[in-house]
Amino acid sequence: MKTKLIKKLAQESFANNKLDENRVKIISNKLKRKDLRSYLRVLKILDRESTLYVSMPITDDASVQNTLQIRFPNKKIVYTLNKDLLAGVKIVDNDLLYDFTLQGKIERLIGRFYDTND
Amino acid sequence: MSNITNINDESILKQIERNLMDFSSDVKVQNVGKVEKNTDGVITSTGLTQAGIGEEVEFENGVMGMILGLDEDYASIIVLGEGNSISEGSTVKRTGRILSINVHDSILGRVINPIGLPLDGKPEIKKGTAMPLEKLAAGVIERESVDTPLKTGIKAIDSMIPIGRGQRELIIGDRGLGKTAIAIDTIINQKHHAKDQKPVICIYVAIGQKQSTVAQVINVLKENDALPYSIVIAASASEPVALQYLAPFAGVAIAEYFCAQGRDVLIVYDDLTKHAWAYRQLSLVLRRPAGREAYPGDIFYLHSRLLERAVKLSKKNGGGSITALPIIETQAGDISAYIPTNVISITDGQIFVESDLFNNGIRPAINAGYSVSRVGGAAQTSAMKSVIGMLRIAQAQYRELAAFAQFGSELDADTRSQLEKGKRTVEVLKQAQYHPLSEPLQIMSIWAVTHGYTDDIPAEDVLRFEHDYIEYLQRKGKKLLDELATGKKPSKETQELMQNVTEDFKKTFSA
Repeated sequence: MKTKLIKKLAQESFANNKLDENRVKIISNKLKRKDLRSYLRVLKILDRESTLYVSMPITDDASVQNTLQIRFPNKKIVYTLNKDLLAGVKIVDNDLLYDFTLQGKIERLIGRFYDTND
Repeated sequence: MSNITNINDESILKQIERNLMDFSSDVKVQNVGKVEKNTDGVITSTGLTQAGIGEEVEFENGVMGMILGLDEDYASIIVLGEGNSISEGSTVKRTGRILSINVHDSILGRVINPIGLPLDGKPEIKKGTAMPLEKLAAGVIERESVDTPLKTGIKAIDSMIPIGRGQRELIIGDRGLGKTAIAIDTIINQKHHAKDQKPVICIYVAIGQKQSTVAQVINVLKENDALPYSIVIAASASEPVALQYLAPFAGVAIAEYFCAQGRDVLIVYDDLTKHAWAYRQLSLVLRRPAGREAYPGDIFYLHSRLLERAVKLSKKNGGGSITALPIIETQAGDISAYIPTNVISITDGQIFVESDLFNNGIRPAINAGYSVSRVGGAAQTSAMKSVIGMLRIAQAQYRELAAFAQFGSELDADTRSQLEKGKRTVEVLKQAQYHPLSEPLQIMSIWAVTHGYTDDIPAEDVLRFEHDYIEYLQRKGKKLLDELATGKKPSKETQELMQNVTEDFKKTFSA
């Protein structure tokens, strides 16, 4: 089966930006083993594209959660706890990483010192 | 001195403040990807949609990589370090930099790997200029034709297959016939350069070789005091294939650094056969369509874009040059195989070493029939040109008549004398390894043989004659050698002096 068609099937497996289990079952039952692999691969990519991964040093910061839900209404948001970040928030949206953390700032500052004093 | 002792908190804070003046604490947005697959140090990753070919990327554990291919959904990355350390699911981020190598004047005399890390146990190379590994070669406007000789110190090459600065001359032949020795001799010979010519910086790129072989080359360079003006870039057989692929590009990037300063550089790629193997391996792992002998379709472009970076810049552009000596290993002397024919067509000539000659004791085993230099003639000095005409004729006649040599006494006197002279010209072109000869001495040796001064000496004594003759010239012919070193066509007086000196020597020589 052509890659384009598999991509279309994977896109159709989503309903309201969420993976529809029934649609996936119907499609996967009709695919050959080789095509099923490609289908799963594309599903993974699309799922990642529709998900926002958020790392914070505390998980119960309601203000951040509200802001993110307003800013990304169509995305599934996954929160993870990472105390090393010290403060702030790190967001991964598909292949873009937004670093609003204190850890990131310190690291950039250290990098800057290395660059200027090399 | 007072500046050094006056360090206090305030001055330190001021320095820090100055350093951080342009530091931006804005939010950092980075383009990242996720590792999907790691096949022998070749990574397939999703994401990285904004990355470009040749861009440097950084993995989660600090290992660096380079983007080699971009697909609709995937980026293919080669790892510039320990490939096994990258696991599936780890993050990889863009750096926004094209893969470059740090070059500083202090790199001379060092042994490094293709990403600039020292292999000689000495400290890291000082921070200098970042030279991109992949770069478009200089255009026609920036170049000028080859006009300065690059002397190898090897009689057979400097006389019959002369190399000019900025030329690409291929050294081709089976394994173990002295291809590397020719290149190393050339590097050693750069120690002695004419007063009116710039010294040459030498770069030796070892690709896919045994560590012991590389160590041997380094030792030879050290023993012959050639290391201070040389740089060795080694990606041995045990290094990741990505580094073997990058090694020649790192070499030429370093060469371009010195060339931009108006200096002359010689770069030896030892060898491009193994480089082609490394690229084939990478391409097969990347599942690129395989062509002839399983090489990818762009194998020709790989070597042409590398060798095209050999250049002779015009005076307006600094007048620097990069001379390339790529080496190709053939199987059973077959120069019509895929990679040899590719590189032959890219270069400006080839030096073909042959096993038959090698086994007959002719070393360097250069086959003058198959060897050619397409542009080097323009760079040859008038002094050398004045003596090689007769050498060429004698060699050509000898090659033509060699088949009749077995008839011996049945041949007429003319043919016999041509054969005898041919034999002596073959003998005089023999030369020991790591013993390059200056141009005036080469001229005198060839001149003596072509002018019949060895006709009465048995062919097997010609080398001994030459050895003693050179010693004699160094003792008693200084003026003559200085005259020939100017490169000018010998005047009538000089020719007379050549005759007199040679006749005087002959009186002292007993066969």
